[in-house]
Formats: sequence, structure tokens, C-alpha cells
Amino acid sequence: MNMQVLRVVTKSIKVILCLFLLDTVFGKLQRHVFFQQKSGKFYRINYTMDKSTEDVLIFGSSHAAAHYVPDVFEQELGLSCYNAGVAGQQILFNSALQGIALERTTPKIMILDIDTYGFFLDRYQYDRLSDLHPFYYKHSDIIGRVLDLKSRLTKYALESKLYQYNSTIVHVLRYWLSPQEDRKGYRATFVQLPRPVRTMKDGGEAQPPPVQRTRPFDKNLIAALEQFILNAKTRNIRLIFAISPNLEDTNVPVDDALERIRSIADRNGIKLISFINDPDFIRRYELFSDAGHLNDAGARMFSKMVADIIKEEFPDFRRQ
Amino acid sequence: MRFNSLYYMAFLSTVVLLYYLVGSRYRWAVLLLASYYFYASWKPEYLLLIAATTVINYFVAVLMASQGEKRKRRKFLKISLASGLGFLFFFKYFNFFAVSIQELLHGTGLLVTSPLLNLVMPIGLSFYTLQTIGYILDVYHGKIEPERHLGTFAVYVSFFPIVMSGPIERSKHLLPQLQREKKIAFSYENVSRGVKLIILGLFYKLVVADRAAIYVNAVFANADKHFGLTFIAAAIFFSFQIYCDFAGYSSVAIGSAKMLGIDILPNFNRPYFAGSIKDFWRRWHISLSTWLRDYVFLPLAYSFSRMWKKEKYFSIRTDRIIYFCAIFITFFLCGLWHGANWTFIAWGCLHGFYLAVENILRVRTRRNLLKIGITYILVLLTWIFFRAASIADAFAIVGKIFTKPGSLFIPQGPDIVAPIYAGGAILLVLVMEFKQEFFPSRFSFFNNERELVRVLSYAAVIAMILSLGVFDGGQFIYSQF
Repeated sequence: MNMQVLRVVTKSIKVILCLFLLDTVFGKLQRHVFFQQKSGKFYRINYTMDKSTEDVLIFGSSHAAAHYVPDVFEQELGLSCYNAGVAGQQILFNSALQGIALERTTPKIMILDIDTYGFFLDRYQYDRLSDLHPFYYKHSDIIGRVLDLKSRLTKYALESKLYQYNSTIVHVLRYWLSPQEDRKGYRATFVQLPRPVRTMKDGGEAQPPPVQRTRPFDKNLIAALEQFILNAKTRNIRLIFAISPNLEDTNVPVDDALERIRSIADRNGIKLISFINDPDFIRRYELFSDAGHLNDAGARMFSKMVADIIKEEFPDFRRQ
Repeated sequence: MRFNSLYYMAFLSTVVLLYYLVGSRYRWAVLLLASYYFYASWKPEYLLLIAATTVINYFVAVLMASQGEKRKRRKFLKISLASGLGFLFFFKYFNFFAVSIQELLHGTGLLVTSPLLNLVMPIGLSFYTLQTIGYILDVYHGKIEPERHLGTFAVYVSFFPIVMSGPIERSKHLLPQLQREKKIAFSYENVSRGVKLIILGLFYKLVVADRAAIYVNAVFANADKHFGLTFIAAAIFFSFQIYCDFAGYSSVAIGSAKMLGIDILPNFNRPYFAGSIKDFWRRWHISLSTWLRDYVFLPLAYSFSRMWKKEKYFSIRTDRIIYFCAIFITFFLCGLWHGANWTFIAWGCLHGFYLAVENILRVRTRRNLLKIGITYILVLLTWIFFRAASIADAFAIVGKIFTKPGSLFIPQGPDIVAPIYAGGAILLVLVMEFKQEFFPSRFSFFNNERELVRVLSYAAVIAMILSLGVFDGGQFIYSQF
């Protein structure tokens, strides 16, 4: 028995040593290649974390990335601007991203584009935190705290360098071969959504039936929003919450989430700009690239409207 | 607790340690505690169900064995079947049959609304029900003696490596390995082989299956937006997703049991290298196909042969009619067992139909590349029914494949990486399995004569899992169409 145990222990040590060697060599190689990126999602995340010095930073999901044109804000406000929106990411990720950026820079204004559905219990919001893994070794404090919300074991798995860069190699190669275009983080789309053929006699103007969302809120997500606010407040950064426009009428106003966000914003003296069911955008197919996202023309129009509200709200930033 | 989690690895290590530390008399207790803990980690309430199944079948088997007359034994058999199939029907099929009957009556003009149950199906219920039925039938037919130790029998029903998704074990094979008299010593070979199977299983599951699922889900979730070529690609990806998912899971299960010195029946044997549908079912979900053969197909065929005495009916040989009827019923039940949806039944019936046609055509078992290709395409077609949300969707997809090829859906932007990873992983699996199928003794890495190659092989596969595996829902195709 003892000999058998000894054999298992010896073999295990040999495998672990080999694994450590492979992990160190290939992990470091991957890390080196990863941080050589000049475009793409991970490059933009890295820029926001470690390089951004702009006066205006915009956070949010794909809505943020596709709806806020930094050039428009720069022109209207006379301040430099970077769009840090990341597709598929909500408040947990954005709270970590903001926290890391603020360790190094203090912008004058921050805009958080909010998806109202982003505060309900949702496993995917936690799963998608894996976008933070490659940056763990540099910002382990903040990222570790957020990852703990997902699982306390994740930090141990991140001891492996290969795991830190899990699934990134093809992404890196893809944008090395064909760089992804962005304009200060803004991802423009120039497609126009075709107007659907409507068969209803009234032209399809009917309001959809009210939808009451019943999913419970996730207290971690609400806490992340509060942390986002606190981070800005303690550094005297002006914070704006914005909700992007939608193509079709929705009954989001009856949604609990909007009221919850509004009450948090009111309590903290934060301006909440809601473009839900805004008549300037509703069924304006020429302004959308798909059912949920504005195209470049729509984004420019929307950015101008947000910039105008900021000028009203904070007259000291009005361009002279 | 999922097999592909760090929690499971910690759990398994603890169980292995405790198992070998205690004497063989008490190992059943370690396994029972571990199995119940593992099962409770999903939904503790359902432990009651597995415990009830255990107690009912334990006493039924013991009482049945004490009866000399077959008539009396049959009474106990009925109790066991009624309880096992009753639980299965209640949790898995009640809503399906209620809705199907409702729709049927609706079609005849009768508007009937039946109540639906809001229940989550207990995990593994389909598997441990079949395993228990197999045991009871074996006792009924006198093939085995009933297990007299309740604890050992409880482990047989709930053994943690196989309770969730099989392989479906046979009483004659597993029970003797769990008995207290069986002395299993710690051995390097068992642990080494077990670890190897677990690593390979995780590779299949995390690097291939879960990666392919990303593309498959994006396509099937928007079936109305895609066309023929995309569905062919998605069906190919799905064929590997489901294979690698299930074979990977089985491999981890078999490996976990092997570390405890317990042999579990094999479940897959490179099914996509089958030369006929019959051959496919010798290689696919072997524990289920042999279970169905022994407890459904053969008894049915035997019973039909006693009913139909003539040499021919409607100018067709009776043995052929018996085969068609028995195979069709068996595969209808096989489909229904896979899920409470007409899509699964259609999948099963298609396989039954293929086997009937092969029987008529007298397809020989000798393989060639053409036969392997045709078998794969036939199986691919059935996977569309298996994966589609409804029968209507499945027919629409098959229709599009033949009439509207359209263009291939290639995700844009960063999402392109999903099919690239999946395609690469599938290619790797094909190469590995081709080598194992046709050159089993050549280019061996895990069993290489040189220790360095063996050790490096283990480490390299773990490194690939860490680097390329899908560990959660963080990988996804953002633009679904």
C-alpha cells in the first residue's frame, strides 16, 4: 500500500511540475501577446484601466459602446472623452472597471448608460466577469473582490496564467490580422434597419400589453451601483445616469427596476436621463442598426441630446 | 455540484482519501454519505425520492425472492414498477401528456384545460429508475440474489459518479463490487487510470462540447432567421456537442469510480466511426442500448413470438414483423426516455425506422468510408429533431436544408472566435478518435513507454483545458444572427 501511495505522490508531483512549467512558459507568452493588442475589446478595457486620462468617461454595455460618440461630446462640451462601454457587460463589470481607472485618473464627468433589466438576478452577469481575468494580475484587489461574488474559488484558479488568458488567443490573433476600428472606444455601425411591413390597419401603432417584471433584484448588483456612485462622489466627479432610446414602445416605465434606479439616483442627487419611449426615436428605423442599437446617425443625434442636457445640468462645462 | 467544478475535484479527493482510510466493512457508509451529500448539493428535497426508491425496491426484492411462486413474485414486481415508473411519470411526463391530450381534444373541438404541475424534475431520476428496474427484473427472473444489506443497496441506487447521468449500471456488475466482503486495495493503476479518464472527460466536456454549444445555441435560438447551410453547420457542431458532453461526463464518472477501485460499464466507443445504425447503437450510450435490448426489446420480441405463431402475415415473414414491432416500440420508448417532447420521440422513431430499413436491406457489418459517411449523415438528420424546440421547427429546418441553403452564419466581430475554437476542437477530437480507431497501438501518448511523454501528456491536456475550456457562461455569441 505504501509503495502504491508513494508512486501516486511521485507521479502527481511530476505532473504538477510539468504543468507549472507549461503554465509559466505559455502563460507568460500569452500575457505578452495579449498586452500587445492595438484594437478590440480587451485593448479598450486595458486602455480604460491603465491609460485613459480623458475628462469624460462613458460606461455601460453595448448600448454605451454604440450610442455615445466621443467626438460629439468633445465638440459640445470642450472636454476630451472616451467611450469605455463593453458589449455584454453590466454594472458588476463596470463598477470594477471604474474602480480600477479611478486608482489612476480623475475625470470630470462620468456617464453610466443603464440597462434597466441589468439589476435582476442573472447568472450571466457573473459569468461574464471572465473578461476581467486577464487583468487580475495587475489589479487583483478590485477584481478579486468582484470575482468573490461569483465564487470564492475563482481566485485560486487564477493562479494559473493559462486560465487568466483562457479563450483569448484567437481573439488576439483575429485583431492582430484585422484590427477592429473604434473611435475613442465608440463602435460605429452604419447599417440602417429596414422598416418592417405592417399589416395592421392602424399602422401597428398599438401599445403592447403591460409587462410587469417579476424577477427579484440582485442585491450585489444594487450594491455595485451604489459603489459606482460612491467612487465618483468621493472624487467630486459629476455623474450622469442615462437610459438609451428604444425602437419599439415598451412598458419599461411600469418596471420596478426603473423606479429603483430613479430612487437611488434621487437619493444621491444624480441626474437620470431616460430616453425610454422617446418620441424622437420610437419607430425611427433609419436611426437603428438593429432592434436594440442605434446606428451612427442615431448615435450622433442621441449624443448631441445627452451633451445638451449635460450643458444644462453643469453650466460650468459649457463650451466657451 | 457539477463534475467540471473545483468543488467536485475537492469532494472527490476527500471521498477517495476517506474511502481508503476506513476498513472495507464501512466503505459502504463513506460512499452512501458521499452520494447523498453529492445528490443533496442539487436539491436536498429530492433525497427523499431517492431514499424512497431505495427502501421500496430493497424490500420488494427481498420479499420477492422469498416467494416461490412466479404469480406471487409478479405481484411484487408490479409494486416496484408502479412506484418507479409512477415517480418518473409524475415528475417527467405528467405535463407532457396533459398538454398532448389537451391539444388532441382541442383538435376534435373539445376545449379542455388540464392542470399543469410546476415541478423541477429530480436530477438523475431517469437513470436511477432504469438501474433499479433492471435490478428488480434480475431478481424477478432469478438471475441474481437480492442485496440483503440496505446500505449497500442504497449505494447501488445513488452511487455519486453515476447517479446524475449514468452509465446505467447492471446489478450483476456493480453490486458485487460494493459489497462489504469485497476488499479493494489502494492501487496506483486504479488512481492513475481514473485520473486519466477524468482529464480526458473534462477535455471533451469543456474544450469541445461547451465550445460547440455556443454556436449551436446561437443558431437554434433564432431558427427562423437562419438557412440551410447554417443548419448543416449547427447540426454538425451539435453532433459533437452532444457526443462530447455525454461521453465526457461518462468518462469523468467512470474515472471517479475507478479511483475508488470500482469498474463502471463503458458508455461510448467512437460512435461516429460506426458503419451502420446498428453499429452506431453498439457504440453510442452503450449502457442504455444494452439495457433496452435486455429489458425491452428481447422480452417484447419473445412475447410477440409467442403470440404470432404463423410463418407469415400479409406475405411478410413473422420474424421480420416481430423485429419491426419490437424495434419500433423500443426506440419509441428510447426517445420518450430522453425527454418529454415529441422531438425526442421523433428522434427515437427515426432510429427505429433506420434499423428496420437496415434489416430489410440486410446491411452487413463490414465498414468502409462510404458506410461511415452515410451512417454519420443519417445520424446527423436525427440530431436536428433532437435539438429543435418543436417538431414544427425540426421539419422547417430540414425543409430549409433541402430548399433554402442561404448563406452560412459566421458571427461578426469578436464573436467569430466561438466557431473557430469549436471547429478546431472538433478536428482535434476526430484526429484523436481516428488514431484510436484505426491505429490503437501507435502514437500513444498516455500509455507511452517513456515516462516523460506520459507525464507531459497529462500536463499538456490539463494546460489545454485551462487555456481553451469553457468554464461558465462567460463565452457567448453576442450577435445571435
